[in-house]
Amino acid sequence: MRRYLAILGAVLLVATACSQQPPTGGQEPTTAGAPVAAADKPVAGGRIVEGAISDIKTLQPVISTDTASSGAWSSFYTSLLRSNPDTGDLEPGLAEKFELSKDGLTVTYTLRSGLVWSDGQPFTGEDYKYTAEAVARSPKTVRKSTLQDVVGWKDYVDGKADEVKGIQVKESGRVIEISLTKAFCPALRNLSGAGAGGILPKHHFVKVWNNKTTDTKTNIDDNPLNIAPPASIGPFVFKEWKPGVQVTMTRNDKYYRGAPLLDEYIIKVYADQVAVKAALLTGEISYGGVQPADVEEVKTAGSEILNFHRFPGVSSYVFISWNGKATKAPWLGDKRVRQALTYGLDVSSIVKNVLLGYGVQVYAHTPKASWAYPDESKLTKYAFDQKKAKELLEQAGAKMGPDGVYRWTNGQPMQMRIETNQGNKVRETILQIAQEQYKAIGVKIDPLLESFPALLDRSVPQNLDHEGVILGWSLGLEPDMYSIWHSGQSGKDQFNWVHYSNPEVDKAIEAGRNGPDCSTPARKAAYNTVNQHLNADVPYTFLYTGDSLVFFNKAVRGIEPKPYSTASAWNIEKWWLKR
Amino acid sequence: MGRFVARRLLQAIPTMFGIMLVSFILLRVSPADPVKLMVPSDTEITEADKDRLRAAFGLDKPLPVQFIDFTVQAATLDFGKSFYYHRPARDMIFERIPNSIQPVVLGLLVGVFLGIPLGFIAALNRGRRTDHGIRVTSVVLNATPDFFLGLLFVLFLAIQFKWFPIGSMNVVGVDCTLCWDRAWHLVGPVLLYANAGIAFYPRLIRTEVLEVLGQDFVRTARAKGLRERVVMSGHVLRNALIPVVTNFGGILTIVFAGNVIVERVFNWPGLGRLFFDSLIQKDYPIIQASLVMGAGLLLISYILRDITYALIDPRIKVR
Repeated sequence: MRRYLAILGAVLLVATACSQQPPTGGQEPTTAGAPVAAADKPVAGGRIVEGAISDIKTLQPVISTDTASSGAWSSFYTSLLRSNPDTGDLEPGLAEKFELSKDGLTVTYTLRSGLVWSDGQPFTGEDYKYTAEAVARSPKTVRKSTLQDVVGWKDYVDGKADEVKGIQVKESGRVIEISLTKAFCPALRNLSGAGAGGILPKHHFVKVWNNKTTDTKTNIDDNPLNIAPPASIGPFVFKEWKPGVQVTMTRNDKYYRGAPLLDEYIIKVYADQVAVKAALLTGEISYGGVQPADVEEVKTAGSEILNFHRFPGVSSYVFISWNGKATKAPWLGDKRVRQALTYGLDVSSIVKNVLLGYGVQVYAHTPKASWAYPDESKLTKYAFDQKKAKELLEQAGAKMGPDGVYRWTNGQPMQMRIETNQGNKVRETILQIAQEQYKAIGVKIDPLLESFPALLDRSVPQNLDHEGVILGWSLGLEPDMYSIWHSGQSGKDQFNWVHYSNPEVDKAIEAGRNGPDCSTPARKAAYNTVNQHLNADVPYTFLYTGDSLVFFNKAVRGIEPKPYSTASAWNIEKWWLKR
Repeated sequence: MGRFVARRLLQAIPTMFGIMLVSFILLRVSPADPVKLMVPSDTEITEADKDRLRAAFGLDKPLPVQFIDFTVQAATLDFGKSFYYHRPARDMIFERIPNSIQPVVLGLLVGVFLGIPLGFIAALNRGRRTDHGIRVTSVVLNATPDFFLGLLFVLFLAIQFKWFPIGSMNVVGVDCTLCWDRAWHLVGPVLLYANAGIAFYPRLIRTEVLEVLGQDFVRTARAKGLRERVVMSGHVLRNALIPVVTNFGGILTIVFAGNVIVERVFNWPGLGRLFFDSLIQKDYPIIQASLVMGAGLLLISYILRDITYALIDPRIKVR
């Protein structure tokens, strides 16, 4: 099937090659400074259609695991806070005030007054508490760990209590106070969605599951409301779901940020990126994302009806991980070798030629757009330098063999695998480039392509039989990196599969996560330390963060692209249709 | 006849069991367990919570027990709930069957009603220009992969000329089955399904007809003064159609299989896509339900085929 898709893409490329122009590199203005067509006066009414490339599975946050589903339910159920579209910082949403106590043990959210669900019922802290308790009792959620440090959490999970003691709703529902068993700096953001990411209307859901129970066998995992959201606190109200086809929503006149101008918002499901591209070009959808390789083609073919917006990626990056405990490549445990491998790969040319400029090179873990991004001047840039790479290998004790491949200190030729998931064209190309460029510095690479599940099975700490792996992280806006870089996260199936272990990094990660000082400057300093170590130790060769590339139909107005508005349309209530 | 059907049904049980066992094992030995695939990459989740998830999906039980569960499910046609959709797999399959069937059946009809006459015409015009034209066309169509034809259709007739939609069952905002909008959307998928018939039947029928035309009984029929039309319909066509019936052997399964490519190219929300996506995500309930229903239909259609043989070919007797 993957091969078929590849051919499909190739055919499209061939068929449109005559109209293609050479890629422009990175000269596209980013959206932050893009002019906004605001000359016309907004009018109400109309419908927009978004193209999604994966089926929507459920409309209930507690049991949802995929981005297509969250893209749909986030129009109805939201978290208490928002991310500032310009800076990514937390800002008031449903909660007008939010505070983490100095000791990091108490989180307080104060709701706006007069909040109502789309059916007119008041939105209160009880809705929040209900949602958190639904997470606690859900056997099918993947998000329980988010709330595990809340006082009384385990008792409620195990059915020893009929409420989570640590979540107190005060002042007739306006104030939510959450007590934690230990200081947790990411708490303000991580707890703002009650563990689920979106808060459910208790007055409806309580009819299918009462949270005041100690019976752990009951939960909200399977009930009709999961596919028919009964009320909305977001910009749109659920209207209809046709499985495999689309979700239709209508304007929520009671939306606290103001009723949307649009009457209807539809998320339509497409089989793949090729179909979304076609739907953009025929005007069937109002907006949708494309791959870097398709941008020029869509721009040219759709110049009359489409506007291009390029959003810098804020929370993901692609890397080559180097397994520090690889049995077949003992040299990967030596930091100089990993540095050599980083010098020996021309990452800036990968960004320019493989990503066609739609991305930025990264030098450490925290994405560039994050508030926790380290002082870049203190980071080594590892500019492509094959001579330096060879010097480092020799410093580490490698000796050149007669066949042009270095021999490690134990006499073993420096030959190893780099693997990635088949079907991801960008990563496959990076693998080819790495193979060629590492050959030039005397390291022989055996490329290995596998299915994504097979790759997930192999890149785990308990498997020492892997060397280099090209993969990507998709992270939230919260900079906590405990699960990836803490030395304690090398257990079975955990994420530190490179076995990175650095006591100073552990200490800084713990400080950034558990305080005691949870203030932004203190955390920024902690993550600065972590990133500098990661930059010097290169447990990964950090590659790039890709941009998110979106085309909008020219009829859609009022869009204000901002650096942090990729995931959700932050001002969708102001969007309107020019007719 | 009744005994024949009963015997064939009994024979189908071990076959079915074999299919289930093999597919069950293949599904479990392929890499990565469903829970691992399900957890998004930035999610911190404890091992205990993962175990809880596995238990919720019944994946914590030993494999033999899981297989016994599966056979019980197959017997009761209740395959449990999808890991991702949290809805009964059977319902999800049933709600998509009507979507899949429409283009498949229409495509089949178009293929048969175009393909068979074309083969007949080619045979009757053997060696003439018409014959060459039909043969070359069917060979070329047969050699062209479906997805490529579909892509050309989308690229030129939909994107370039905008005569047809690029895919989907209806225009956004329209929801109807018996209407011009649906008919308009069906053209592409139906042609693609019909292509198999248009490409294949002419060659098959042509060969068969030519063979039958040379048979003694055709000469006898003509010799006893039967009208040409009667000879053709009553003797030639009836005999030439037998291989077509063989070819229809797995007919019921096309509801289940062979859909993925057409449904992807035309963004058709049918069973093929559901099955394909479920395979990628390792959504066992849907995969297992599809396999059992697909295999069941295959076995039933083989039985139907054998009965049909008897109906059109008097030499074959059902015992």
